Amino acid sequence: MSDAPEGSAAPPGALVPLRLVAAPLLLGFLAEAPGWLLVAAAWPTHGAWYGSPGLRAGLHLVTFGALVLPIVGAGWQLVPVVTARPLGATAHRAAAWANGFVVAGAVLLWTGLALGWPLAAAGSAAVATGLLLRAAVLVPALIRARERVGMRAWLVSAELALLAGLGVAVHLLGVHLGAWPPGDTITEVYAHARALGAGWAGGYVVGLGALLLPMFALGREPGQGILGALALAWYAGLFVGSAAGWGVTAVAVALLLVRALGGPRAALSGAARGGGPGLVQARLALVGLATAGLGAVGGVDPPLVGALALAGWLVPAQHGLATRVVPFLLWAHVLADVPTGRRPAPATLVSTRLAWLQVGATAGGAVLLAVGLGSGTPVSGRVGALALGLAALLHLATALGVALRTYTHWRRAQALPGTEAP
Amino acid sequence: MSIFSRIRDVLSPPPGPSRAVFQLDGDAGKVLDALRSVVDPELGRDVVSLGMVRAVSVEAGRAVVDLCPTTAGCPLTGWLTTACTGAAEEAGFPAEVRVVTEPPWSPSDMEGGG
Repeated sequence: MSDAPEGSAAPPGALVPLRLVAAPLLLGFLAEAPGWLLVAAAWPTHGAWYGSPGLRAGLHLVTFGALVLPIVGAGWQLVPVVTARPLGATAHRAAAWANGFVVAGAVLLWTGLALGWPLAAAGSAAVATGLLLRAAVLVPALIRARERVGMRAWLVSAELALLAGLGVAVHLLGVHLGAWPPGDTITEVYAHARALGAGWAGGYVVGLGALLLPMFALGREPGQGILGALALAWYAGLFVGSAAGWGVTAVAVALLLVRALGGPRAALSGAARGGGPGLVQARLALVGLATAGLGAVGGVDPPLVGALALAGWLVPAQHGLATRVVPFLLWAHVLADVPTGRRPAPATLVSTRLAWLQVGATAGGAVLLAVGLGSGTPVSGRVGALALGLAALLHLATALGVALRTYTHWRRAQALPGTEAP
Repeated sequence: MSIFSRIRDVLSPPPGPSRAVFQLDGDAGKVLDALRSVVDPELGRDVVSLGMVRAVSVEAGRAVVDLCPTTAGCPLTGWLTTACTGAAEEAGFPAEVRVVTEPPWSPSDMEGGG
């Protein structure tokens, strides 16, 4: 492979400082596995889904670990790609503050869910501050941009859903702290999960997926008009329409993104050709999204639709995309200036064996979790959660392996004569 | 046209002809050949056969290359620009590489039509 001339210093382009992406991503990868283990341990034997402290703590570790923190970190790098405009130094400083609030708040929230509600409330307040600061940076950039109106519609709508989800969270916290009389807690928990899961995280996974899937598969980006129309239908289904309306839209979104993955694979070389474990998992995630959508259309219980969406779509989508994005980013930051011949391709930084095991564990875990919930078989649900915990550990190991291989290649390049640090 | 064809065209409009250049004569051809040594690290294929090179001209020994990244806003754009500049200079042509994003890259721009 031949690329940049020997010793050339590539300009940074649209890369944001690596720490903005890496810190939330790493904490997220660390948190997901303990979350699934807690879910397995706290799996209710008689369908008592609400009020279980272990389940609540586990789900918040999973959702923050697999979704909130990775989306916060990756968003700093990927939103400027959507808008095709860099964020600028002031935004980077605000991003560091937002990350600080979200990371510290997540740790406080998790601790509070184990030790007491006042601490959880403090953590929630910090997370909300960080997420709102992040939205204050990203939403104006998204609105000002001219490129990719459909993708931007998903991301801006996601931030509106964040406001709704945080509003419900504040009320739920107030009830737990005794500040307000309890309302219909189950309905509020659904609304919280719907707004932040399908609304905020889902909006980012679809919007950024529409960018990344064709980018990695060399496919064609979906039409911005149809993407925007689907965003409208998605959020209308979530907030003012019916579950079935959202379900139909979810199936349509899955089909649209499957088309975007249909790139000319034969034209690619090496790991890029088959898509590797990352893109295979992204495809499986679209099956999960369509399944959750069909479940909503069929009127299955909301917890089962939620589990299908979380374990069958959102978690594998994040795992799959991260399997491609993490080596790409580390390569771009650390190895891009290593001279030709000593520089590996990003795909070779991934341990494909670990990544494939992770894909299998995630898929198997999602199926078992859904079977456990759907059939009321606790042992299946618990084994499914354990498999997902194993998948999260493998995902963490894959990411750390990429970092280690990157460092090793960088050290080797430094040790050779005539090579200077990038 | 059947309803299925219409739906397919809405989801994925039929590709147009490639807007990339794959063969040129003279000095521009030498620059284009040099650009074939620049490989997109993520995709494992060179920028010319990927259809990212939209135009090459050489005037008074100086090359001007129009490069269209496969994704507008791609973080690797700066790196690819530097690599293309270096490759052209190694071939003996000081070069200016201009990034173009309109019309956007499409798989049909690839050599062989993608």
